This record gives sequence, C-alpha cells and structure tokens, in this order.
Amino acid sequence: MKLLTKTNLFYTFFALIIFIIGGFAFFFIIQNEIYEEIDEALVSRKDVILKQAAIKGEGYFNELTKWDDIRIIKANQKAGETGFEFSDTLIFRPGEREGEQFRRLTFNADLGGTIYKIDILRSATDSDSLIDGIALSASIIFLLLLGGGTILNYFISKRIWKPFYRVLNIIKDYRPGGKPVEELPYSSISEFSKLNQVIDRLVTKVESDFINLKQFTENASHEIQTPLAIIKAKSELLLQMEELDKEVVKEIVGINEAATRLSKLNQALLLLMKIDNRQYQESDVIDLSVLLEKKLQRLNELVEMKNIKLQKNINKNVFICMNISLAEILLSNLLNNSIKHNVFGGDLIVNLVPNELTIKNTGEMLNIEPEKLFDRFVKESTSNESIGLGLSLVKQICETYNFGISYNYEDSMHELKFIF
Amino acid sequence: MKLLLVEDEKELTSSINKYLIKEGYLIDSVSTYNDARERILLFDYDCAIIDITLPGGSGLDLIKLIKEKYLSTGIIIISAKNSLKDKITGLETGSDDYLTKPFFLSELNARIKSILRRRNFAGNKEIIVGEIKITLNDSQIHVYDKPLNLTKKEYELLLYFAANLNRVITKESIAEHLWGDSVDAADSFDFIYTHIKNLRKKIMDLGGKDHIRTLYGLGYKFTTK
Repeated sequence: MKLLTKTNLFYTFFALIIFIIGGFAFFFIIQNEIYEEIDEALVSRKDVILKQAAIKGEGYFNELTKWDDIRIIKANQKAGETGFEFSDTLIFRPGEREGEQFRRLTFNADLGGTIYKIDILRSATDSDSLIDGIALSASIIFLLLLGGGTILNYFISKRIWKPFYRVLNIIKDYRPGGKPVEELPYSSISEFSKLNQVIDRLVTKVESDFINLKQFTENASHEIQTPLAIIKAKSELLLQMEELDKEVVKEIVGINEAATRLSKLNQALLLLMKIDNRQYQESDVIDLSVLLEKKLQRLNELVEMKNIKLQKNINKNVFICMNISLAEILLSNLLNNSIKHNVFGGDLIVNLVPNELTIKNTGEMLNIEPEKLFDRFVKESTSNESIGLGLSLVKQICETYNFGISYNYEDSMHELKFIF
Repeated sequence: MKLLLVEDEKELTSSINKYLIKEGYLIDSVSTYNDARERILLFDYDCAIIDITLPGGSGLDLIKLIKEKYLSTGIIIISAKNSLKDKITGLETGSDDYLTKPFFLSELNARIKSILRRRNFAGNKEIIVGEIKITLNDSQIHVYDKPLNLTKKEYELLLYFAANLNRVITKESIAEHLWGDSVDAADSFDFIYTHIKNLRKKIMDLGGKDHIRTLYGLGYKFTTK
C-alpha cells in the first residue's frame, strides 16, 4: 500500500470516528439545553397556575379547562403535597399516524379544597427535528471535510512527498559498481534533506567498499598467478635437466599439475566474483547458432576421439543478447562437460531452437543429488582435472541474465536445458 | 637476436632467462619501468617480453615507446590478467601476442620464434631440422626432399617441436598449445599420443629418423641428436 493511501485511510477513519462521537455529543448537549428550556417554562407555568389557584379557588377550574395544554385529573391525594415530576409522552392527534413528542409536568393543585392532578404539556417536536437537522448537517459537514480533506491532503502530501519519491526513484536502480547515482533533489524539509545526506553517505561508502573489495580480490587473484608462474617455470626447467631420476620426474610433474589446478581454480573464482559483481556490463546481440557451431567445430576432434555420436539440430539465426565473454564461457562449460562426462561411444545431442538450447549426453547416473549439481565445488568425477566450478559458473551467468537452466536424467542421458 | 625481458619478479626472470639463453639469444633483463625505458631508448631489440604491471609505470607505455622508436621489434605481453579486455588493450597498443601467467616456457619460446620469423621479412622462411625442411610460406614439409603430408594439428605439433628442439615438453603444454581452452573437455591428455604416433610414423615412412622420444608420464622430447 502506498504511503499516501495509507495516510488518507487513517485520516478518513479517524474523521469518521470523530464525527460520530461529535455528532452524538452535539445532539445530546443541544437536546439537554432544549429540555431544560422546556422544563423551565413548564415550571414557571406551574407556579403561575398554583398562584392563580390560591387566589381564585374553585372558579379557576373552568378557566383551566379551556387551555389546550392542560389536562386536569381529579386526584385523591391529600392536600399539601406539592411535589411535581417531568415525563415524556406521545400524543396522537386525530388523522395523524405519528404521535407527537410532548414534555409533561405533573403536579397537584388545590382548587378550593379539591386536589387535582394537573398535567401541563409542551411540545418537544422541535427537538426531534433538531436531531434530524444535526445529523444531516453533521453528515454534510463530514462528507465535505472528508472529500475536501482527502483531496487537499492528497495534493499537499503529493507535493511534500515529491522529493521523497524522486529520491526513491533514483536509488531504486542503484547497484554497487553500476551507474553512479545522480544528484539527489534538494528538499526544504529537514527530514528529507537528512535522508538525502544519509543516502549520499551510504552510497559513497558502499561504492568505495565495493571498489576496494573488487580491487583487492582482483589484485590478490593476479598476485597469486605470479608465484604460480614461477612454480611452473621452475618445474619446467627442472624437467629439462639431463639424467633425471624417474621418481623425481613424477614428483615434479605432480607439482606442475597442482600449480595448474590452483591457477585454474583461481581464475574460475575470480570469474565467478566478477560475474557476481556484474562487471560484465556490455552486452551484444550474439548469433548463438554461429557461436555454437564454432565451439562444436573446435571440440570435434575430442568428440571423434571418444567415438561420440554427435547429433546436432541447430536452427539458424538464433540470437541472444548478452556479454560475448560470458556467452563463450557458458557454451564452453556446457559442451566441455557433455564431452568430459560422456562415455566412450556415447551420444551427444545438441538442439538449438529460438529461446532454447538443450544438450544431452550419455553418462552414468549422478551419485550426488541433482539439486546440488550447480553448487560450487560439487564434483561428480574424481578426476583431478575437474575443479568443480564449471556448472556454478553456468548457473551464475544464467542468474545474471534471468535465463533458466534445468537438469534432467533419463534413459542414461544427462540433459541440460537452457532457456533464454 | 636481441631480446628485452621486462619482468619485476626476479625468480621468473631467472627461469625465463635460463630457458631462452640456450636458444642463443642475447637477453637484457630489467625489472623496473625506468630501467626498461632507458634500455629501449639506448638499444633496438628484435623482440621484447613485457609485463604490464611494473614498479614505476605501465608496460603499455613501454610498448608505445618501442613502437615509436623501432617499429619492427616484436612484442609479447606476459600478464596475470586474463580478461578479454586486457588482451584487446594490449594488442591494440601494438603488442603481437599476449601470454597469460602462468605459462609454459616452451610456449613462450615457440611464440618468440613465431614472432621473430614474422618480423624477419628479409630472412628465408624455412626451418630445417635435420632431414626435415619446413617452408613456412606455403606450409610445405619435406623429408629428404620428399613431400610430407600432415594434418593441420600435426603440422602445428611439428612446428611446436621445432621451436623447442631437444627440450622436454609436457603433454599439458602440447595440449594447451594445440587445443587452447578446449582441453578442458578432455578427461586426460592421452589423446595427444595419437597425433604424436601419426607424426612419427609419417616422418619415418619417408625415411626420416625417429626424432620423438616418449618420456613416460611426462611428455615428449624432439631430438636431433
């Protein structure tokens, strides 16, 4: 949910509660005021009646009956009871379906020795319509405030949050070592300008750390190659010596092979790191059909030597957009594996159709779980030559470009399907 | 032939020197940018072997300097950097070849010879190894003046041997020289044996000597003795 939607929702919800509570409070206060007014009027009327009754005595009875708002009931209470009580009543007038709300004051009056119970009525209809009025106006005000408030809030927020969204947009695509971050927009709001400062600082730090790490790893990696070059050169020179003992030769060859492996391992790890850091930015449109044919051509001899039956079905003009070095590494690794882990006289099937490359080769079942096949340093063969990074490189490249890669084993055939 | 070797790693320099000196080259070895600069300004070399990362400067600048001064010097870069970009930069600056560390001394030797041959326009483009004559212009080989038909790989193999006469060459180095990165697809270097066998047989069929000695578990040696 967007920030603005969320604030507006909270605002609306809060406004609704305030208006409901406020409306009720308003209503009860007003109603109370009105009732007090009515009650006061009733009490003063009662006082007038009682005063008149004391003067006029029984003769006042007739006079009282003329009034619409007074009802006289003969009561049998004892004289001297001067209490009174208020109550609400509904009175139905002929022809009207709805009763009318009245406020009633009941008291006893002594008219010439007879005690009468007297009701004075006063219409309270005014307060009813008042309630309606209040409810209606409250609703109107609520809707107006809600509507207007929402719109106002939306525009104000949008304006206030604008620099925030722009900053968000700028840093969204940030990637260490990628395009430099463009200048963050100035904001007069202190929180935002502080945010910008923090982002600026973080980006600078991340960038310098990234470059340092990148340089360190690359330098370390290159520095390792030099002593390896020395080991290899020295062992090669040793081998040139005349009259070398067979055992010594064996040891020197061992040293040389280990140095080669270490060097390849080092290069593969450096490559993995470079792909990880997305240092292969440049992309080209590559004719995969041509590249694949070229690679197969180069491997042809090895294929023949292992008596592998190669079946290829390569569509022409299948293009892929990626870095050329990575494309070469990808194909080399896939094809090399399919030959290396093939059996003598086995099959190799290479199919290329638009967006899909399938490489199948005969081979023994894996004794590792297929899911682990792409993990680093997982080796299937015990061959010393294998460094166990080939398929990790493939996977890493696929992840970089969001290509799909899947492994399947069926009918003694390993199948690697590559979808791009 | 006069060679310049610019490499800051003393041990590597000494090994390269030892290997190349037997080829009869005159080798100047320096380890810093400034020393190299001085040498380049003073002398003309037939071939320069240059490391890119040097104390005091970049090997690329040395290459530019050489090219300004004496155009026909052949240049080989030896560098630990193996990215395509580094190689392209090196070749664009004017180097003839790019060798990634670690490398085989036999490979470096073969490349130096190849460059010297290419640079040496006036000289005859023939290599003579005992009874075998290799004419480079048209890739023709004659054994006792009888033409020898070789496959492309056998021809390259023979050239590699000819560049490293009487040297022990490992199977690994032959495989890398002939197949490059594709050797990763092989589970052993035994496949080289087929080519060696064929080459040996073809030469001997024309009355040539058995030059190739197999060093078990190690490699081969092409002898003229």
